[in-house]
Amino acid sequence: MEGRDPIVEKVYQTYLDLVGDGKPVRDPKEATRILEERFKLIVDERVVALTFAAFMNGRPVLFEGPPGTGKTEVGEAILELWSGRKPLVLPCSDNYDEYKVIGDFHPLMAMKKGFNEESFTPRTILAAMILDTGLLVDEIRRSNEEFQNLLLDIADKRRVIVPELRRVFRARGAGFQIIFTSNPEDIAQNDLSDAFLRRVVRIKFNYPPREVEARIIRLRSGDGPSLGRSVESLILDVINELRRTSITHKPGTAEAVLWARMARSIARLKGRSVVSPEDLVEAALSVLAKRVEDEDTVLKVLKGAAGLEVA
Amino acid sequence: MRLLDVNELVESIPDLVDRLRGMGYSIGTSQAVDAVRIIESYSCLRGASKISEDEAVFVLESVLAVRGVSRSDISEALRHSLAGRRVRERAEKILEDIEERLSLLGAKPGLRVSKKSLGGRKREKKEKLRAYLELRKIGAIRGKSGAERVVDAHTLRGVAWRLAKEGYESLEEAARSVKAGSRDYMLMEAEARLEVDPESLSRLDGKRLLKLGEAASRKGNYKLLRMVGEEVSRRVLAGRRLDPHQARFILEKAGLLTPDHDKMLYMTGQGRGIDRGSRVDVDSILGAVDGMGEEEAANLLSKALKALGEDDARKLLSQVDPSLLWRVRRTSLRGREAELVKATSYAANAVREAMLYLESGDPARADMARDYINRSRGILTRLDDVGIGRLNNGVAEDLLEVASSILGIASMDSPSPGEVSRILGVLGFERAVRVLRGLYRTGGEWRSIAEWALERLIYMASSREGLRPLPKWRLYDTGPGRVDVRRSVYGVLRRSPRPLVYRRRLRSNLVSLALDVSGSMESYSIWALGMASMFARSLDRVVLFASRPTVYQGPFGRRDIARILLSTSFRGYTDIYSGILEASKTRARRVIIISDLAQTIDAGDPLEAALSASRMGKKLVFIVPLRHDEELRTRLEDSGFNIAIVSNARQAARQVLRAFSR
Repeated sequence: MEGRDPIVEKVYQTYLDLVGDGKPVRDPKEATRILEERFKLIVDERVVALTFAAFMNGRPVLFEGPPGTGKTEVGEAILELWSGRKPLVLPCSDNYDEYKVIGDFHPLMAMKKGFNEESFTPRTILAAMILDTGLLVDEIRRSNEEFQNLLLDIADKRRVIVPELRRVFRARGAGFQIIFTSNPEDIAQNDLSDAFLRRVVRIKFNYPPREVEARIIRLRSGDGPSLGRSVESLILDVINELRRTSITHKPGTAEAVLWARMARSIARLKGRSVVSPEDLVEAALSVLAKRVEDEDTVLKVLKGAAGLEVA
Repeated sequence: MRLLDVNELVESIPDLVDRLRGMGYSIGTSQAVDAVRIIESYSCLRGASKISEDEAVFVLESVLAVRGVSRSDISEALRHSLAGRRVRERAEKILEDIEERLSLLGAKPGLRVSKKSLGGRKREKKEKLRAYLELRKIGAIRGKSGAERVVDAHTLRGVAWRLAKEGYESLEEAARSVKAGSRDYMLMEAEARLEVDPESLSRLDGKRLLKLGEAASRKGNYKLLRMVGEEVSRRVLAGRRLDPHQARFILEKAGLLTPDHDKMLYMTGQGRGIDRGSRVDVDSILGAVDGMGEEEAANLLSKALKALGEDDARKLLSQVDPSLLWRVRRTSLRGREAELVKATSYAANAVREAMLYLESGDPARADMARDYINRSRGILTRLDDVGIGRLNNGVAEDLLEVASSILGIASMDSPSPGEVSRILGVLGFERAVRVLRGLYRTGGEWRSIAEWALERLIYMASSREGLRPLPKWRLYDTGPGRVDVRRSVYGVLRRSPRPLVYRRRLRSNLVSLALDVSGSMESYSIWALGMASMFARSLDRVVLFASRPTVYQGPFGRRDIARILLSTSFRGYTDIYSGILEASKTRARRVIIISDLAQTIDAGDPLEAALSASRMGKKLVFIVPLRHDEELRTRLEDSGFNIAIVSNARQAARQVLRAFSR
């Protein structure tokens, strides 16, 4: 019957290829293992268990923490493991409204055929609900309050109302879950209301401990020329030192991984089998200094950490 | 890391949320429900019925930490909530115990139960009695003996909760504690021959301890009696006040009574417990009189002489200082002996009144003194030579002469210092100093006479008490030092193996002296300062402290010390704190403090002052009488200070001399 529903049809046509189909994994221990092996993500088992516990109780989860700590990637991976399908991602923007996230009507079609299923185009949230897959709402603080309230209603009731169609779409299984990500320290963004925060399970993300971060770099910096312990240690020293400075954009684990990857690529291009500190220096400014005013700080830290001079 | 049972954790959530709300956080009921659900799901997912405290806080934080709720607050609230839960568990356990005891007794909440109806076989009876006592002690059974009643069910719950909150795990534990019990319980416990915790005895107050001892003796519980006796003995020897009659009875029954106990009981009791017919040990009375102040000693003697039989009264009278007999009115002696005691008592009164006249200048005192002299003379003229040991007509006449002399001294126009010191020499050091102070206060030429006489009296007292200054030299058979030619020549002549004898000059330590000049410490300070005057050159600073400290800075001569002693009035409250602080502002390394440690002014903690002096590198020596503030003494001892406890003023003086030479 659902197959004949034109809206479901449209969703399947548009999104099915994106989400794929797989087997859900809902055991935290197994999920943690898969996260490391398949997704190359090192996640605390407690975080996975708590996220699953929230899902079991129909609560959306909010991942909060500084940039580069893997919130989005971890969120996506957990959602995928939970529902067995790739999640749909909704990067937030200040001018989002229900038409942009639930579905809207093609203006010409609507004029011609009226506000009905034919002229309706389903969007991300409705698609996720119909496909019974996870939804990752990235950088929720960048959205406005009305949008947050809309999401809350959806997360709470697990249903979407489209008044023009006089229809209510309900989540069919447990696969439809929402993870929000947010960086409270980020500038130019909105605050989250108490009502919103009360309805979510908030999990804090922070920079991982040094040894975990080293493991992450090893796991995610790709193949090619070897990093070597000293270079790895140098990366961690510089990254940690930069986090202590007043630099505008503090490097996260993602930057550390990217830096290591770039250095590896440079070494490969130069035909070397081992990454040297010079390769690191070459990649440093472009990866670590996101703003012109941060360049001096990065250079100073590089010099201080191992006497690395940038030409 | 502590593991928490998930069920326990879930049950504590309402209380946790309440506590967080109490801290000012707004947390909704839906959040509390979420917290419960998520903890349950979380533990289910982890496959564990217990999770660590850290994990619990992690989960709770994710749900409850909405705005401003910190992890530490959640952690603290959780700890308290779990503790609250533990209290509930304990309360339930205690309540179960109570119900079990009640069923053993066949009693029910709100109904009557009587100790007399606790029948049964021997073992059963004992168990019932124990149950009854435990319930009585915790307050589950109340009312007078014979009309006891179990409290109602609601109050019973209240009792269980109170005990649980006090940290007791079971009824037995609560009942064993002294804190929760009454005196009656201890007595009944003794009667029932049940175990008493030895530790708890040290926490009992004096009255309870003695009652318990009596009960133990009455019921033949010798083990307990011995235990109580040992505690009583410890307290008596430490100078704590206990009812002398009861304490002596218990010590005697426990086989622990010694003359030292007797002496201390007389001293602390000031004659209380001495009644006609009661056993009074003369030697102990003499020992006690030696360590007491003049007034207290006179009281004790009066009571003892009233209670003693003829022989003992004679023994006591023959050895005691006759000037202390001014309070004696009645003795067991008859006839001429009784007349002699009466005459001596009047003579002693005459001396006392004459001294009071000197001190106060009140002419009524002089009249009283004259009246006593006349009365004593009237009796003495009727008596032929009568003697009770050292006490005889001559002694009474001497006293009368002293009284007349004092009256004479007070009215002298051209006094002679030699005459004054001769007259006062018979009075004893402390009393003589008091007389001289009275003379000194009258001013004029009396001042120099009093100073001169005091110097002489100090010398006399020190030689009488064997309190001599240090020798200037000490001899050694090895160098360094000067060779003592005379002794070395003798050594050679005697062919001793080491003929050479060396002399080394001894130097006394520079000392700062802090004296408590409140009323109770008068005799101690008089003796200490008097004897310290022999080392006047080694005294760097003298601080006399009562309500506020008076500081005298050296160098001193003997005359200076005499002047200080004569011009000081012994009265007021005590500020040891300031005394120690002032005394430690000295270049001397050694600071001697004589005080009963009773800080009666709210100035500061004397221990703080002592510690600060100690930090300045001063070595503090405390000399305290038997009756002193034990709490401060213990704190000082715990902080490592040297404390010498002395039983009389002369011992205090000896300690001071020792501090100079050490």
